[in-house]
Amino acid sequence: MQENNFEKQVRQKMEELKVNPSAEAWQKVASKIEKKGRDRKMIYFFSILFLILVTSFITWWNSSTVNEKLSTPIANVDTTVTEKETDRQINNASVSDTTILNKKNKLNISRGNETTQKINRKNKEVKNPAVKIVSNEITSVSTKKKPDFNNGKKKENIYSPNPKIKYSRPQKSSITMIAAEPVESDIEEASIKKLEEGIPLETASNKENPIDESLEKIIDKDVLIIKSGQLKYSESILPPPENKYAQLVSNRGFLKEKHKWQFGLNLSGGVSTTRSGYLGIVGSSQLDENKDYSNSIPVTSPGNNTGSTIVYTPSQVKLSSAFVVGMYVQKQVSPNTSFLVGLNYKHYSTKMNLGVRVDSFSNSNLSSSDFYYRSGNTIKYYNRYHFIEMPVGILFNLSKKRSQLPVYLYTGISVSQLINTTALQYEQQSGSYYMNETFFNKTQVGLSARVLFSLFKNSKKPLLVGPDINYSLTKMATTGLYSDRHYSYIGLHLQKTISKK
Amino acid sequence: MDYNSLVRDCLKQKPAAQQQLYEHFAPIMMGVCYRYTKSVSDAEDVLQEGFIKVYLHLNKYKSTGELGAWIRRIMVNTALNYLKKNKRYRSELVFADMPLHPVSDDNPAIKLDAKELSELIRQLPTGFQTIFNLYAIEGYTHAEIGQMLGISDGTSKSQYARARYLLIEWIDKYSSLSKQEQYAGK
Repeated sequence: MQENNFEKQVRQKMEELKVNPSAEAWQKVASKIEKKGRDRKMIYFFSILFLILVTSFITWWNSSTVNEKLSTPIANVDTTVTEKETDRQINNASVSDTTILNKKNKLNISRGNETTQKINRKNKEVKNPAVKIVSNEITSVSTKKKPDFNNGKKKENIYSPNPKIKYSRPQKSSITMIAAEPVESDIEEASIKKLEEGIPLETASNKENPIDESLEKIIDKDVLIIKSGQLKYSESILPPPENKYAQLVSNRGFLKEKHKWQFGLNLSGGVSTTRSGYLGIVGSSQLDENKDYSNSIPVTSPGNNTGSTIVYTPSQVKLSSAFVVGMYVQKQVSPNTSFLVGLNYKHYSTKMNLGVRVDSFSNSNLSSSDFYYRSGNTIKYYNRYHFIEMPVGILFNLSKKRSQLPVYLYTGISVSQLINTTALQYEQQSGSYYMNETFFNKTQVGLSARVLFSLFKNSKKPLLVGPDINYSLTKMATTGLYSDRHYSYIGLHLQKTISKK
Repeated sequence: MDYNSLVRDCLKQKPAAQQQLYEHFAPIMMGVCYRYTKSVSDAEDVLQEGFIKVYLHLNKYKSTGELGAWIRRIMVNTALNYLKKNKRYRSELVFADMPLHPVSDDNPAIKLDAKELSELIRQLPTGFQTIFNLYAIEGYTHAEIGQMLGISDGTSKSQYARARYLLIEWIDKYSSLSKQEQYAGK
């Protein structure tokens, strides 16, 4: 085509054009790639580290809660339930047969039809009736109403001597303890007979301690203690429902429960800044006077016609108000931890002192808008940053007792997108401030932490209030006034779950 | 050269592969950057920035496409961003409608070599230069150029016509000058 002949020729010629870059060019590219790679690795590293820390904390928190309760000494107990066994027994919901060990006897508790108590035949100690947990849902063990062995009266759902003995407390307990299949030994049969007849059993090791007593002492308050082959209980060891088994069993029960996502709203208000370090604690609060905050040296100097002999100092960027408002959904992932995901609108601002505003169309070399500000101290200008943020985090319940005021720790990571800003850049040689959004890194990754207190302890949908800190890992900008600076925020956070548990 | 394996090696962060990729494409891409800027140092800045983007986004490159064209697109976009960000260019990157622009229907034979022609293109005002590069060499439509530069396609057309007219004029002058020099030399 004749019309495109010129363009074709130009294109062909330009395709032949090869210009060799300088030798240093590759060195610069290589060093920058390496630096970017390092930055990426650091981000991955910190992300993984953060996840590991969170996971470790959750694990530690759960295990410490369980162990602390288990390690509470029980008075007058020669033989106590071993922690490991109990951990396995209670926490591992998949284990059907669970074993409680003591020094002399071995008591097996099963959830099926199998024998639940085995007797140490060698020393022929206690021949307790076998005990079986028949309920699927274990929340507590209780025998508020003591079994009556002496008169042999059968109490339905309380005690069954033939040879199944049932203990239950319907209003509280979902565990029923019964004797399992008949035990093999003569002694066992004799024991059962005695039980049926209401005659107290005697043990080989401690004949003055009858088995009925031991059975009677099978615990209220959910604690099963074995003492030299006897079953004993201590009523006032721990108040319900915070005793160890209640906790352990509730942990187990938790695994079976289905927890729904809950919806909530959150609001946070405080102050934000954009200095180096967190709220200016790390790094200088003043801007570096020797640094060129502009992208490059300007051709024209709108604030100063004499050129670049006068070097202006940029205004100090001060704290200013900030707020975050949004919604979240949370799901309980363990008795003490919840997972949260949200969507927020985030508004940060900073304050600086400026000179007069100059409306100038000839200033397009500096600003994306048709005005700029001169250096000075006549007006207060607010740099405003508008973000859409998606936080993801874990909420830990720190209160170990229900009687305590619930305290929560939230740690999370957030990704936010800068949707608009009125922040000004600075041109040092002319001492002018101008608007240019293109300098900013639009996507920010930040870390958040907050400690929250429940204002209404007994409410199912408590209002949580507490201090909130946020620090952006991503630099605000790659060039200009805010290069090497990070957003940081501190404030008071409120959140309330709306939907029911 | 097997670009796919080269790309794979680059994605594995192998420095040798990265350097090989750079050395293979750098002269061509430097030519692209050279056409959009006014100085060699600026062209090198764009080249460096462009190659960093190439390495960072190499995972987005689809092996079905041509690697050179993909890198070239990155270079062009980087150059445009550079012009917009850099005050020196931004002041000249002013696009105004020119309703009474001269129109040249000439299609002169270009007897200049690539380097000479590129020098003439670089003499154009930044706005003209950019639009000429995008339309005549990269092959973008005026609508696309309008979107890229935030101007109307009519503005792009008028700017291009002006640039084309100027360039043809300069090519003629340059060609006649070089002929005279040749004769004088003889």
